[in-house]
Amino acid sequence: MRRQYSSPVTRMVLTRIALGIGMLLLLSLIVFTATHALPGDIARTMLGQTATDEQVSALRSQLGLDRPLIVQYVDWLGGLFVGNFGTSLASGTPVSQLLAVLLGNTATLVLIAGAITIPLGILLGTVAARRPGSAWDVAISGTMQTILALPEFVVGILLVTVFAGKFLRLVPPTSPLDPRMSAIEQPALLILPVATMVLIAVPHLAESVKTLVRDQFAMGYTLTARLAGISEPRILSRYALPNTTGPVAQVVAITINYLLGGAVAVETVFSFPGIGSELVAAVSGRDFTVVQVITMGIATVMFVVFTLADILGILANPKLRNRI
Amino acid sequence: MSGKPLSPRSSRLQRTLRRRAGRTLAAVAGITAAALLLTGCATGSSSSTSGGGGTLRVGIVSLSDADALDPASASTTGGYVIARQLFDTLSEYGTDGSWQPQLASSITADDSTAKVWTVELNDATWSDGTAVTADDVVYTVKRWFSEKLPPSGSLAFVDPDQVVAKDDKTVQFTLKYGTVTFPEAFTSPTTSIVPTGFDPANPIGSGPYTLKTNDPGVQLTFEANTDYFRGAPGSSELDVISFADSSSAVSALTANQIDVDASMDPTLVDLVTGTSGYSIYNYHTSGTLTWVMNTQQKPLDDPVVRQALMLSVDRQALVDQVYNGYATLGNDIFNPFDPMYNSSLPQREYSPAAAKAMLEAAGYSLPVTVELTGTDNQPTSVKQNEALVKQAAEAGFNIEYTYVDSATFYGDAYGTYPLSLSYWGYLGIFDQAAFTIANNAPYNSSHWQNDQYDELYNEAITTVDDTKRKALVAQMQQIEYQTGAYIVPLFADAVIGLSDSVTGTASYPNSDGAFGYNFRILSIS
Amino acid sequence: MTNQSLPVDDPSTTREAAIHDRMQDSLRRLLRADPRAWIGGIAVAGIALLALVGPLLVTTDPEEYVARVYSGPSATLPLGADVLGRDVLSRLLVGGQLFLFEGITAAIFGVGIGVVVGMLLGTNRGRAVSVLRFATDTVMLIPQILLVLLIITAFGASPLTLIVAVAAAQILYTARVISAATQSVTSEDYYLAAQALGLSRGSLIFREVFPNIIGVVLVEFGVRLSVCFVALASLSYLGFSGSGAAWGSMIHENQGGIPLQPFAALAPVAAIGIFLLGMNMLRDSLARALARRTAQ
Repeated sequence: MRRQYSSPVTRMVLTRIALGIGMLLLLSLIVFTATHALPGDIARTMLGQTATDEQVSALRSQLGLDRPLIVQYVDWLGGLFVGNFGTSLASGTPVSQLLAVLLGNTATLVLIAGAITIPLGILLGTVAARRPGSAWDVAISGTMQTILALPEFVVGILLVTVFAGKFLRLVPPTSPLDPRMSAIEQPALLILPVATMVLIAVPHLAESVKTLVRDQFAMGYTLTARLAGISEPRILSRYALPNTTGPVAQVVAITINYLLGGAVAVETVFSFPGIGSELVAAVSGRDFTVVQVITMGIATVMFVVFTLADILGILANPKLRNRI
Repeated sequence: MSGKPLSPRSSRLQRTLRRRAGRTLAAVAGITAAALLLTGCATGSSSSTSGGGGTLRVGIVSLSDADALDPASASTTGGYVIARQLFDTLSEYGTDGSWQPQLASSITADDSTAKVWTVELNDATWSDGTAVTADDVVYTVKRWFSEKLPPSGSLAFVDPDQVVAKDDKTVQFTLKYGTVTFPEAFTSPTTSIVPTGFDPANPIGSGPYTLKTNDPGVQLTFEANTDYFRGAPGSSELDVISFADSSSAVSALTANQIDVDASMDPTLVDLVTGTSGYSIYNYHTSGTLTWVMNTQQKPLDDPVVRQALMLSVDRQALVDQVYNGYATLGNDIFNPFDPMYNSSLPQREYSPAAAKAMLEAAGYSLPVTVELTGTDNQPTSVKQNEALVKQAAEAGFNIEYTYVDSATFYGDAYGTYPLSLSYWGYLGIFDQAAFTIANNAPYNSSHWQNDQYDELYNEAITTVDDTKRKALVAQMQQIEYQTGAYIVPLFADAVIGLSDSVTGTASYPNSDGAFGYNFRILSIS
Repeated sequence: MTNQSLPVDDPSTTREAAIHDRMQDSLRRLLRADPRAWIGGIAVAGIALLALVGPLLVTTDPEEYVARVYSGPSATLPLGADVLGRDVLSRLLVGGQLFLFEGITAAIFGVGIGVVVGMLLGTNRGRAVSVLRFATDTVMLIPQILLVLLIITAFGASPLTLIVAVAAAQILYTARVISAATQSVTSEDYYLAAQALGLSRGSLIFREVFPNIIGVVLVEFGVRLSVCFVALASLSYLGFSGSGAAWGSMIHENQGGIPLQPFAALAPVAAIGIFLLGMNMLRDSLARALARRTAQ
């Protein structure tokens, strides 16, 4: 029978992909509607206080904004399917071209920050959880909670003040990456933004991991295991960690989401040319095509990340696995 | 793009078409019976630059996706920067604030009604090597009107069908009605001259630089046009780099990441002056954030309330508080750099008691509530509005201030706000009047209308005699001063942070932006 | 395997009483034993007090122009002057109420709704829930900042809009965490047994699920409270704050001057930071106590 070849997980993945396409379609409708519902429009914004009605309507029709909304939507969606992301209303350049450099910059930033944050956060969280109240726990938790209490931009500005200030100029204070080169070729300009992102993302991850792992240690079975003479590392690796894999995977997914979409403040502090600040600028400038493409792009990545997190959680928990 | 503040283009979008009147009129006045000579003093000081090497790095807050390569559509800081580097205008406001011919070698009126104007062109070439001709000028003007580009809205006197090439280097304009403001109407970067068949995607211009790379909202790089007709620019490459806000631009300057901070926040000058190797360059300008009082909305439809509000503004405090001293007092009339400016009017003082008395005498019960709507069209806008709320409270006004983002501000409600803050200036008195005050001006969001003013204006723009015209302008400004709809509290300085390695600075008091965005004058060592 | 005794006899009374005792006992214990709870409590109370009675202590008009822009601290201006030459101390004293109110309200609504949604998603498998899960999963894919920006851009940066926007951004994150925790519970034997006994969905949620995820909820609330305040502060930094003397707008107005006059922007940041640190310590202390109690 076919069934034997398709495991429950495979079926789940296939279902998820079908669902994901539905989600992205729904999302495209939500984002399109929400952005078009914003007050003001790009034609008036571009013409500013010297706009005359005649010029506004000329610009609107030039930008294709005078067409019925449904036509604009279908047109845009159809384009997405054939890989045509449309044209930035503000600049008139293809969105793909406009975003290429920014995407590369943000991807570099997020990948480096993620590669440091995820192992570090899980490690620190686990260490702190193993012996509640130990010196490690107090030190790690104290530091994490202090950083958690500070907004991103404060962390960024403090780093600038300390490491790029008047007295100790170790690294450049701002990161206006030269678009003629890739981000990785300008490592000095990546140091402070990456450091800031790691500093603000690690505490979130570590604190959540700590709680999840600690709850497992607090569970009766670990006590039983201890009484049964099972070694601590073995309890950790055999019982506590597998049981927390699902929730930890979720927290990691949320961390990635945070790094991807929520790093606007970091990009702003360092004048770092990236997707996050571009999104904010595009909302404010009512450049709908740009907003829509960035949103759909991030949503697609996040869909993959969340799906992976769910699969991991299911694989790690036999009870859930069997229930699919 | 990292480079932007949250309301990126907002802060710069509403740059108006800039025309200035500077000394224009003085020059125009040279008109004798038959022909007027408006030949400016030729190419001026800048022509002498010999061309230098090096890369000049300029920081700007902020570039935006909306920065147009088509100069006629320029409405952002970046758009103006591009236009100034790649193109030339027929005339420009010079370092003393007066207009001079630029791409033109002369601009002259043919008779005493200022209705027919002749423009002679300099020997300039496009960046593809061909010569700039009269046909290109005719093409440029017709293009504005046929494509309904912004200059068509502000050049009401130009009849595109009556712009004719007389020969290779001569263009004749026969206007719909005579106006002595013709020469300064062509100083705005939006009126840059483009070659016949212009393609904005491949912007060929006659300017001091050519475009090398364009990453919208991030960075612009330019290469020197060594054949520039006024002499090669001071640096062989120009990089314009976007910053998210003024404080990161200052950090970048003092860390040698840029050489020029073209968007200095006046409250941060101490950061620059406190770092050795860097200094501040500043000069007075005619640019102003002006409060627009809507004469169609209560309570500012009442001239008494408008007068009272004018008395409720502590201008000196605004200069100190909001501009850290980098501004000059305003007197509710525009452009002190225009020789026609009426400087005989007494400086309006902060008189909260008098304002209260006026309001009470007119039967108002205090406080009088006024809705104020503002956006961040300039970095100082929000602060200026907040300061007004406090100042006017002392004078019996309850100002309810609402901040909206710029796309909302310029949306459908624009023109209906009872009180709002607009960015104007860098316009001669007549252009400012044509845009926002006289004869149903196209951008008059105050809806103020005064027949006596309109009569004076109509007479003045066809009056070629300096002295007579100045007398008319004095009356116009007197009317604005007494019953007008614009509170002009101050004129902001241009404040620029500079590395000591930059030389060649000059002031451009009637042009928006650092050095009027004429970065060609700067050399780097 | 599980420490939870099944409520066989009279589930409604015994269990509730047990939980009640446990909570009270834990609170008492941690207050007695854990110095961090004390420190945290004092920090939170101190800042809350500052915010509440601050307006009564003000001697200088917080809107008055009193000194040169960004003047440093002096005898008359202990925290110096701000970007408009106003007394930073006065503004700090009057600006706390609104900001604390905004952050706490946003966290309560965001986490409250998120916990309910999360438990529903975690315990149900019906069609309606599938639709709900589909919808939440979809919105979850949008960057949080976009959601907030769209709401604030559409309705302006009023206190109400800020609360709604920041709270809305938390709901789905909380729901996701809670739903995962709930699912763990639903795979436990005691839950399955209770389910087998035919308890109603409401009973299952309130008797079995909620008590067992309370630690997660508390941690989540603590985290989300931090996130809400940090989000409000960051929105202020990015220019989305109301006007007037509130900590959020103080940060926004004065952030450019940090190298010149750090107190103007960092005083409200410090106040928020101390408050959040205190909250985190309290939360952590409570969570530990709960974990210890559960373990026994």
